[in-house]
Amino acid sequence: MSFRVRASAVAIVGLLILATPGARAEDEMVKPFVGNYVGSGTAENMAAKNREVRDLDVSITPFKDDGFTIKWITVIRDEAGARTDPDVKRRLVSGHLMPVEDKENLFVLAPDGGLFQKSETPDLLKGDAVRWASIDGSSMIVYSLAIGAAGGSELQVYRRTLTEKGMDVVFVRLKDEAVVVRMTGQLVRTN
Amino acid sequence: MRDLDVKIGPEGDGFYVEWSSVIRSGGDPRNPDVRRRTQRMSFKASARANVFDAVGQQDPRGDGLAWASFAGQTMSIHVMRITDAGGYVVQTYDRTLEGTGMRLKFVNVADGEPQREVDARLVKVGN
Repeated sequence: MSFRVRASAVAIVGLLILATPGARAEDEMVKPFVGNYVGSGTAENMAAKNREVRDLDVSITPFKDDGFTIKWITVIRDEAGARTDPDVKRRLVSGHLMPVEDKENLFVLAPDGGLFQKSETPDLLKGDAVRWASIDGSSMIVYSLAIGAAGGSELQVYRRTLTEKGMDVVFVRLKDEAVVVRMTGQLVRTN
Repeated sequence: MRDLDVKIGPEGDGFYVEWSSVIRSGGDPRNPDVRRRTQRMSFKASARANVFDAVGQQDPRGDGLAWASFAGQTMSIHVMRITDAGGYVVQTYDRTLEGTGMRLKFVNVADGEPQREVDARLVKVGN
């Protein structure tokens, strides 16, 4: 009898291990990125032919078992490089990203919705952006694709690479095949 | 060198585009290997006046996420795919009406870098 009980217990433990290896791999992949980061960057705007100083704030937190929530705030400073004139811009982007079942390093935007709200997936043709992310070693790359006003593609790519102090970021915005904004920045991890 | 063939016609509240490429490469130069590739896509009207939705192509991890847009004399078809490595490829076919036919510009951009470009001219042979 005791043998049977032991055998069943071993079988259950075995099943649990088999059912979660993907989840654990993704969890381990995301873990090093979890934290809050602040810093700044310099962006080159090819269309306006100018340089902008941007203040950067990024937070990455776990979401559900094996996904993550990323929130970033970008403050584009005024022409004088300060934060005091009305041409200062602040942008906030956030999203929950969940791993794709058959891919270890690919995460897609979790649909919006909640307990009392119908879940909705982004619709590119209604002006929503399609977002996804991949993790490549110490780099997390977040992509955002939208259809621009003229009907072409507008892509934003954020590559955030972990460093000793925090992370380096390289951001590129492409309009069709042309790079229109390129930014590089450094952030430090804060508590 | 490629031979190109394109048909565009009305379909429902939108249109279809069918295009073929005949590629001659490899083998004996006097009798090269010939490959013919045909693709057909249907587009339906969307809420945006200049944008049409590709029928059955909404999966960026499968056949791709596709749409068409119009700007003046140019009709553009865009196809985006997420690659196995988690990056992306965007293919853009710009077809611009010209005096005797059409000019085709094809650009394939992967992870921010143009990979391949094709520039071709086509003559209109029928309605």
